[in-house]
Amino acid sequence: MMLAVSSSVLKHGLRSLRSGGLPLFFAVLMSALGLFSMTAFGTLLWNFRTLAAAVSESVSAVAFLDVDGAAAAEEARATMQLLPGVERATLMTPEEVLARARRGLRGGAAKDVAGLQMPWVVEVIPRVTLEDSAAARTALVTAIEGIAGVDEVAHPGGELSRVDALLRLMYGAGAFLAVLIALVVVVVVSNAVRLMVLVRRDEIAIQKLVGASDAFVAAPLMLSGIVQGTLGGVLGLVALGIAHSSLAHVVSVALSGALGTIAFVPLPPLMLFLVVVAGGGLGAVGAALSVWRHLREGS
Amino acid sequence: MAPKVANFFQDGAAPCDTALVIELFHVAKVYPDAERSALHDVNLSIAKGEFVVLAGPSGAGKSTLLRLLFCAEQASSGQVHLMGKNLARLTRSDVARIRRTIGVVFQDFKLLPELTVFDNVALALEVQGRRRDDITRRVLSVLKEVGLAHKTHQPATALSGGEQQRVAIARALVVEPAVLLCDEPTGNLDAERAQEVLELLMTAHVRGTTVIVATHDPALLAAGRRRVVVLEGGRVVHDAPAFGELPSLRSLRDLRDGRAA
Repeated sequence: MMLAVSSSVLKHGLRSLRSGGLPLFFAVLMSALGLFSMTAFGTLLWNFRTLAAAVSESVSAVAFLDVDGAAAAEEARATMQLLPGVERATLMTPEEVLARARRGLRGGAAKDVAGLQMPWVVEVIPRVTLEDSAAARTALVTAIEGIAGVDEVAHPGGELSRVDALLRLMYGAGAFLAVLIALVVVVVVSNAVRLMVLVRRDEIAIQKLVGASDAFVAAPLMLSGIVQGTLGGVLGLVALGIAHSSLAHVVSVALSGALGTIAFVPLPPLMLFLVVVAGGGLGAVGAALSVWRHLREGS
Repeated sequence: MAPKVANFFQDGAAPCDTALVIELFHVAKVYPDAERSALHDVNLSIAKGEFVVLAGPSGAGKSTLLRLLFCAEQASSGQVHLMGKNLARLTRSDVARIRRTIGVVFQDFKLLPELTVFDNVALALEVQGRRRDDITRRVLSVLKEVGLAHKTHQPATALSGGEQQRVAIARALVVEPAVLLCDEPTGNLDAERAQEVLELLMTAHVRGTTVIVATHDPALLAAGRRRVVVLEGGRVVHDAPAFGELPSLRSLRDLRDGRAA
C-alpha cells in the first residue's frame, strides 16, 4: 500500500511540477539566489576563522621567566601547554630572545642591546574560538602568571578582542542573513505552490470528491516544494562553485600579506550537502504553508 | 439495529435490502445570501438497493440534497444520516473515508482533462492506496463494462459527451460504491447517449447499489423500478414508490420547465 501511495504521490507531484510554469521557475531561481548568498557568506565566514587563527598567532602572549636553567624553564612551558585555551607554548632561550630583540630594533638601538642578559621566555599562542572572550583570555593570563617561575606576562589582548568582536559580528550577521534568506525562500516557494494549487484547484476538488485524504492532496504539492528548494540549493552551489573558481585567487591575494599566505577554501562537502538539504527543507515548509492554507479554506 | 422500510421493488427484478442507507430528519439548508431556504423540513428515508429519482424544477433543492449527501455542504438544521453515520459529526478524515464508499456523477462529468480515460478512473482507487495491479485490473474491468475498453489511453477530452459521462460513471462504479449519487447525469447528452447512461445506472442498481438521481430527464423519470421523489421550493411534495402512484409524464415535464405540477 505504501508503494502504491508513493507512486501516486510521485505521479501527481510530477504533474504539479509540470503545471508550475513561470512561478516555479521564479521560485527555483529565488531559492538558488538566496542559498547562493547564504553559502557565499558562509564561505567567507569559514575563511575568516582561518584568518582569525592567523591573527591570534601574531598576537601571542609572552611569559618572561625568572628561572635558573633550561630544566625549570621547560617545566614552566610544559605547565603552560597543559592550560585550557592554549594552542601552543614555545620555549625561547635567552639567546633566541636577544636575537629576536635585535631583529626588531635598528641601528644604534640594536647595538645597545648587545650584551644584555635576557630572560627565558615562553611564547603562548591561545586558541581563538567564538567562545573566547576577553574574560577568558584575562583568566588565561592570570593562570600563566600563577605558574611557578613566571615573572611577568605580556599579552596584547586588545587585538584579540577586536578579532573576537569581528567574528561575533560576522556570526550575528550570518545568522540574520540565514533567517532572512530562509524566510524569503519559504515565502517564494509558498507562493509558487499557492499558484500551483490555484491552477490545480479543480483537480484537487475532484480528488477530494472521490475521497482523497488531506495527506493525499498535500503530498504531491509538498514534493514539488521540496524539489523547488532542493533545485534552488543545487543551482546555488553550482553558482558558488563558479564564483569560487573565478574569485578565490583574487580574495587569497587580498587577504594574504603580513599574515602570510591565506588560501581561500570552499566549505567542506558535508556543509555543502547540508545547504541542499536546507533548501529542500525550506521548500517543504513553504509548500506546507500553502497547502495547509488551501485545505483550511476548503474545509 | 437499522430500521426497516417497505420494499418498493415487488417484481423481483432488483434486489432491495430493507436496511436504510440514507435518512434525513427535518433537514433545512439556508445559504447565507439566499432569500429562502434551499431545503425546508425535508424528511426522507432511502433503503439499501433502491433506485430513487429526485425530480423537480430548477431551484427545487435536488442538487442541494445531493451535496448534503456527499458532504459538500452541511445541513443548516436537522440531521442527515448516511449508512448510519450522522454527517454533521464527521471529521475531515471521516468525510474522505465515507466519500470512498459513494460514487458521484455530475452533469459536467468533472473529469481531469489532461489525464487519460484510464487515469481518470484510476484516481478513485489511487486515493484509497490500492496496489497498482489491483487498480489496473479493476479499471480495465469497469471500462469494459461501460464500453470504453478501446479508449483506455485516450485523453478524456478527446471523447464525446456521452463517452465522458460513461468515464465519470466508471470512476464512480470502480470503487463498488454502496451509494451512487447522480446530479443531472444526462443533462448534457442527446437521447441516445442518455439511454446508454440510464442503462449503466440501472445495471449498477441491479447489482445492489443504491442509486439516487437528480434529474429533469423524462426518460429517467419514466424508467421502471424506481421511486420518484419530487421536490419543489425545497420541500418534498411527492414521494411515489416504484410502480406506485406516479406523477404523469406531462406534469413531470411541467416541473422540468418550471411550471407548477
